[in-house]
Amino acid sequence: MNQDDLSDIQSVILYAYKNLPHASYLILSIEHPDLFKQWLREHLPEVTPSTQKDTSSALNIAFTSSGLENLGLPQDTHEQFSREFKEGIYTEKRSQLLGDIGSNASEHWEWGGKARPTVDAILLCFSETESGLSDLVTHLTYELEAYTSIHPLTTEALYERKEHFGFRDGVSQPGIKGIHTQNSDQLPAGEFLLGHTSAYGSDTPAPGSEHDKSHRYANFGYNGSYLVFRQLEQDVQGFWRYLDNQSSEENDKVYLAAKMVGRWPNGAPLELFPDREPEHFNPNSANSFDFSGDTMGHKCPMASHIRRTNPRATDLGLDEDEAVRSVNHHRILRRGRPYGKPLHSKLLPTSMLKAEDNGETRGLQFLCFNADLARQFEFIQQTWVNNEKFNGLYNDLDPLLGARPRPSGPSGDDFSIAKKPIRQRLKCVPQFVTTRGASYFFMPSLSALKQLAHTDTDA
Amino acid sequence: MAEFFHRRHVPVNILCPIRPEKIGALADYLEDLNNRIREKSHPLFQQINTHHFCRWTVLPASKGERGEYPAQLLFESNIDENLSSYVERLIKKDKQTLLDIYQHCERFDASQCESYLLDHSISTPMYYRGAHYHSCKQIKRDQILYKVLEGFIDEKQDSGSLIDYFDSGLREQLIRHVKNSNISWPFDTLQRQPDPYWPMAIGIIPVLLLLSPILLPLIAVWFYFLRKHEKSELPEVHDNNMTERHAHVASVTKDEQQAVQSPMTSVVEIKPGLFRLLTLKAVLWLLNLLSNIFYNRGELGSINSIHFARWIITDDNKRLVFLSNYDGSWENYLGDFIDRAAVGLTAVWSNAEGFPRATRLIREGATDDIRFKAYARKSQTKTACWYSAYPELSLQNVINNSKIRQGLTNNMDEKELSLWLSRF
Repeated sequence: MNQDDLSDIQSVILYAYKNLPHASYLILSIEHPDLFKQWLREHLPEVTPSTQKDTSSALNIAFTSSGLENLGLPQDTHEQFSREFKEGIYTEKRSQLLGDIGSNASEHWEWGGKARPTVDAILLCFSETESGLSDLVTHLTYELEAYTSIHPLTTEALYERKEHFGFRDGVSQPGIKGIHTQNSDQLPAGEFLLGHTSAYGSDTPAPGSEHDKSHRYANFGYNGSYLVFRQLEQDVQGFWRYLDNQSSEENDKVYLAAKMVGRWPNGAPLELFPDREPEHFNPNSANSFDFSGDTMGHKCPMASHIRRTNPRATDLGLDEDEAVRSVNHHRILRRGRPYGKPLHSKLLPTSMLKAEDNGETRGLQFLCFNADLARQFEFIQQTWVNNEKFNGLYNDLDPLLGARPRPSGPSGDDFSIAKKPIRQRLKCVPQFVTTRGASYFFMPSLSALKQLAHTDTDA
Repeated sequence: MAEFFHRRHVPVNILCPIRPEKIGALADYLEDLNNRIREKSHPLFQQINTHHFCRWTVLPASKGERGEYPAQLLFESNIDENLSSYVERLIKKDKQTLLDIYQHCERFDASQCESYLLDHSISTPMYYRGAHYHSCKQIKRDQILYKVLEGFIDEKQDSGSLIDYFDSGLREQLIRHVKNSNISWPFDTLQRQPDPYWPMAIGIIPVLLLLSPILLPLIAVWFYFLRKHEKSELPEVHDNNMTERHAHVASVTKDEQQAVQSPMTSVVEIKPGLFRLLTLKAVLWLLNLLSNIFYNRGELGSINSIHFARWIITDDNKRLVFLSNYDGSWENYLGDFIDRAAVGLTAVWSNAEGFPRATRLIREGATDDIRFKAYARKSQTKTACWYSAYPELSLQNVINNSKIRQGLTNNMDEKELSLWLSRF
């Protein structure tokens, strides 16, 4: 990847901004496209490129399919976007595949979906300090509210980078070859950026790549990426209360929770520490396993969250390298952050088992980037997370994310824990995570933003 | 040959031209029938225990590179008996539904229903079965057995009364429970195992050696012509009408993965000329042979999600139809094809129009993921009416249940016993 590309790619795709712990997301519905374009034109320099590091704040922007139309992207460019992106995340079929049914259904969402004002764009705002973020958001809101309706979403940095159930999050993350050179798990750029070479060796389709150079939107999709945004509410008390009822031993309750996740609360993988949570473990070893030594799931259950969202070398039909290569066609760059006050400030399982709910809502603003929505994000959600038959199982959805009980077919509410001589099986596992809003976005490159804002005309 | 392979699962294809003025009415009828299959017990489906999966698909009238094709009704079924006794059974159970369907077809005579269906049956050059030699009845019974044992283990674990401190005691407990529940079939069923492939493999070597003076020159000549064809054939036309293409995909995905399994129906035109047709037939023959002698233990290479699949040749050798019944998502299915079976698929489909360019028959082609998926989607036809006898079971479940049943009677060493206990 050359320097020109890096200065063209919006930074949040490549970097998680770990040094900017405060973030807010503004969901926009654009009422006056021309005024918005003018705003975009003036603020282009503020959009953070991947070359700009060590900043104290950052701003990134992405659009939905209707947002691009609204801003005048012509049909011949727009139609080249992927079907999934154009149809949107809430079609009847897609909702079924993603598990957005029952209490997750789009008619109950707080934003996004059919009935509410159409989502056109999202502004992702990051800052080093709380006051810095508040200044940035106030400023943007002040400028935009005259011609856009804004639905702000907050985030909350939790103790030791945990998520609300009390587990260290974001431990396993693929990297991009030539960019994340420290990462042990590097994939070709085309897995996450349009117009680059994918792991299959072909270029990921990029809208505008077939246009003439003279076309105003030539190469519009190049260096862009699809962004999936899902607001996932977590029933933390429900989670720990369910576990509280499964055993009389406190250690055993935390053990069962760890079996569901596949890691201990501090992030140590069960694959390496099957019996108890290590007090100290080297974070560099957090991903030094591939499940190949645990074909039956005696250490890390087949149905556990981390095994089914990245099965690594689990597939028994293939040798280890082939299995990992095949799994790597379905990876995503996760950029999510929690929101809402935690049930317990240090997220200690032993405290959360007893904690009384204070009526707060909390969860995860799930964000991920990928170049092929069907092959990556939707595949994970459909084939691994919401598949009760994953790897020979009968009736187990992802214990954390699964949408259950299913309205038809297998109910999906078992959780099987392989043991010797015979398995343990948790029954009637309730749903712990509920979708509260979701949308597909496209995050264009900086040069595509210029095309969109018409910097070349006075329009 | 047919005797030797002892085909327990028999493929059925019945292809009939539809009366042009009746196409709409037939589509409506099948849609309604499809809803009724899912809603309640239907005599044509649920009350027949010899078919695993079946479907009716309307192949719409279309104009291709090689001519016009009339609208046709394709019935596909996967059965445990021979065709004539199956057709007889269908008529006996629910003649009315058959009449309601086939009255939309050309030259159908209600008094000759049976012979009409038999006359329109066509052969299956390539057939793959996931659970070889498992009858539909057996698969359903095995699931009952699994449920009984699962419930027993759950109950005993809840009350803390499961004797689980040694494996063989546990197995005895489970066997006793099956017997106490008055379930006898696991003890008097002998599971037919697929024949081992090595006698066949060893047997074929001298034959090949003997024939090599004739075969090798033939292959060389064939390969020369293949390369000539591959170089001279125009590359496939890249379909730029994205809007139309996306609308087509949206319409065919509707019937995918209602629950665990899905059907796929794909229709393509075979490239013109005798060379491509003969190559295709030879490839299908070879794949059929392989699926009979190697891929007969629940896995096609490393793919373990296909219950049944087949290719058939229709329309005077002009079209190739692919039908399958698979588990999980389409993306997973096609991804498996690309990652694990690209060679076989390319060898077949590179003889058809529009497939991503292949070289040396088996290279490239399906490995071009984006074009291959686009090709597969474009060739897909909506499956009008589809039935599965065990919609809640994946193929892996079917095989696992069977191994549980066999384990009740088989002698096992310690390792096998521990593996058997992990199947619950």
